Amino acid sequence: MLPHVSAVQTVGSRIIHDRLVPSSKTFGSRSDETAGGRIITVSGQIRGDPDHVLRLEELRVRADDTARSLDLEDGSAAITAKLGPVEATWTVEEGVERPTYSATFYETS
Amino acid sequence: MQAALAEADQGTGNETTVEMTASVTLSEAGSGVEVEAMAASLTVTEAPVGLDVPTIAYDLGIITDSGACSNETVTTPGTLTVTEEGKGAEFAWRTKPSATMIDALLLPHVLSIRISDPATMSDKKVQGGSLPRRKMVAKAGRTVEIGGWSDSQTEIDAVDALRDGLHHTFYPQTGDSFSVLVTGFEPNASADEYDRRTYRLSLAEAN
Repeated sequence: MLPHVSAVQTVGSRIIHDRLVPSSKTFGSRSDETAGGRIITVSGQIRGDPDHVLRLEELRVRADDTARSLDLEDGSAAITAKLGPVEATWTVEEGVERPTYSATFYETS
Repeated sequence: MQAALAEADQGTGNETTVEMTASVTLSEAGSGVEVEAMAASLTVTEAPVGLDVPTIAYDLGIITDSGACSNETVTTPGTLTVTEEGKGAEFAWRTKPSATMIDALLLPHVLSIRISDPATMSDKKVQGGSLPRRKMVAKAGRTVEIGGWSDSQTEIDAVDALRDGLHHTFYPQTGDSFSVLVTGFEPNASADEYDRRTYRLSLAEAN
């Protein structure tokens, strides 16, 4: 379980093919090829956990090219995704015990 | 008089209670000066694996002298040695530095640390509306962005000297550490901040 998730950003895309039609003054030929797959960035913070470094490491080691189930628990269906970049930030204001993190998931088949 | 009782255990598992009893009675009722000497040895050695809770209870020092001579000197030297060489679990506790460091250099007034672990993903689109096949190509290693400030030119110069192309060890305050190359150092000078110079330090994990 991802600790204290504060934001989820989802970017979805579709692959669109554009073909220009000579002499056409209005529009060309445009078709939807396929799905691009969502890219989901989950941000949060680790709070009140003395093993916060271990929690971050547990997250980081999952970026191993393995497709796993990702359930955002927002009512949407769980998807299959691979974990990509992971980022952790410590600031003076929050203290060394409360790092914020973000993890980017790539939806895959 | 000497008495020695030995109890040896070389097997695995937990031992409960090993009882040894020895009684030595020395009676001397006559007059004169006696120098009674009693030596007792009680050694517990347990080498194999297992959880052992050695407890040695001893009662030494019941000496009765009813002779006519005074000025008895009673000495009860005792040595209690417990040796345990069995295998066990050792915990290596992280020693967390109190400040962010690169090698032995304390980075001055660190305000933020951002550690990123980027991963390069490749997409293979599948026609027909299916989701793409994605594969992680590689990970280049962690990158670190550190922000802070200093009011000492000496500190600025010391940090700048880390940009020497050599591998250094980065110690964030988390107890973690890894080898890095210093890829960038940008000290700023602003009239608005008087003598406080902010800086930005970039590191890249390298083996």
